[in-house]
Amino acid sequence: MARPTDDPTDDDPTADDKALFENLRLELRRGGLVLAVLGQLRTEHYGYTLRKALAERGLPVDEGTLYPLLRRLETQGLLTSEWREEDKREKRFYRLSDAGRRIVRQLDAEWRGLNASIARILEDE
Amino acid sequence: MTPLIERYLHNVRLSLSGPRRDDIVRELAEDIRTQVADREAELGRAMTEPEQEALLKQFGHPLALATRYGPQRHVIGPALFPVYWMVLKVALGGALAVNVAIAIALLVTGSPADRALGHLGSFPFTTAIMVFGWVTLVFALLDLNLPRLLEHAWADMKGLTLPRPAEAKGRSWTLVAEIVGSTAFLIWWLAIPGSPFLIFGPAAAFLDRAPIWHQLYLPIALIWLASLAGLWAVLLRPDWSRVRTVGRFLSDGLSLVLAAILLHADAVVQLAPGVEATEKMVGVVRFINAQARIVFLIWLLASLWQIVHAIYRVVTATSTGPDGKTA
Repeated sequence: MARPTDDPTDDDPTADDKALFENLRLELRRGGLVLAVLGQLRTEHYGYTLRKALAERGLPVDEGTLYPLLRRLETQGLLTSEWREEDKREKRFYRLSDAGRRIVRQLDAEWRGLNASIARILEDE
Repeated sequence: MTPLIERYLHNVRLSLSGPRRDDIVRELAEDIRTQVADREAELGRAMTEPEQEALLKQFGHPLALATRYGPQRHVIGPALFPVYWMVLKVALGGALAVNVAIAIALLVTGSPADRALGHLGSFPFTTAIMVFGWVTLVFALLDLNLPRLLEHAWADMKGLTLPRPAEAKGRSWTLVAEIVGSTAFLIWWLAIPGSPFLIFGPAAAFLDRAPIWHQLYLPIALIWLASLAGLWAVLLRPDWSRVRTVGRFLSDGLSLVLAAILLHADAVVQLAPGVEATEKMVGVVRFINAQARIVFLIWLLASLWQIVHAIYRVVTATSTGPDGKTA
């Protein structure tokens, strides 16, 4: 028999639900984070200012995730970086490479298409 | 930079590898320094140690942070792991069965009980480790070549092939032939104790079986009997495909273990009781044992090949499902 929809247990997520949600949330975020970092690096940043810029736009990311990601994207040829002095301190600045710009344009179109499709699917429910 | 932060960065550096590690630590140090400077400007005082700890905790454990900089590594990936796990269980179970059979054979043939139990007790430290090592090594190599193997299998859609009726009929005849051959072997094997002539022919006048034969006689008879039962089961119930697969692994695994035991034996043939150990006769026995060792080595390699081939068949069949999707 179907459970009544006003059952209070429907609104109270269990510990398993929370763990599952957290896993799925991280999975969902992973791809989006790459695009956000690439998009943000259309303007040059070093790690600390990049993190602040992302957080100000509602996408906080911890250092342990961001710095390895920057290295990976650089290894893939999507970013270039250089050590440079700013405010009397040496900092590693990152920006999009030419290949990175091309990829961001494609990913941007893909992201918008995906977003619109998911929105339509969720509205239908 | 405070000692706590220096200690943290030192540990990150220790956990990193490759030429980039100094550069990575330098970048992390710069970020931490900037965050500390910003925070201290906000507070109007130096950060306390608990505040620094809270800051470092955001970066994660040094080893966890360092791991994120490296490529993802695994010995056996998720695609192969279920098959690996099944093969490992079957191989370990088979090896254990052989060891139990050998221990029983030792007891039956009058060997001291401590020797028989010692043989069984050493199983986890000798045979089990060897089986685990070999199976893991074979699967690690398969995993390294998995994309190429799947591509090869997919080129002629091996995973999608369905048996045609003619093939099924052909398979039945092959099975019948196997059953006849296995039964003949079993009868021959059971008749050996009463007549060494069945092994050595006319040479039975001066040759006899070495002690290893007495230890392996009963286990081999039992294994063959089980194998024969498996063949009958497959013939009568062709839908028991899982029994066939597991049986094949078990039989190949046991064959491998037997070949390894015989290869490690000092001798498989000796002079018959009462025969004078002349230089010529000893030379003949030594020659036969040397030849037998070559045969056992070939047997061991052939069994290993059979196992690798069987695993390959299972992997390519399960990884390219009937819907055409790779696992």
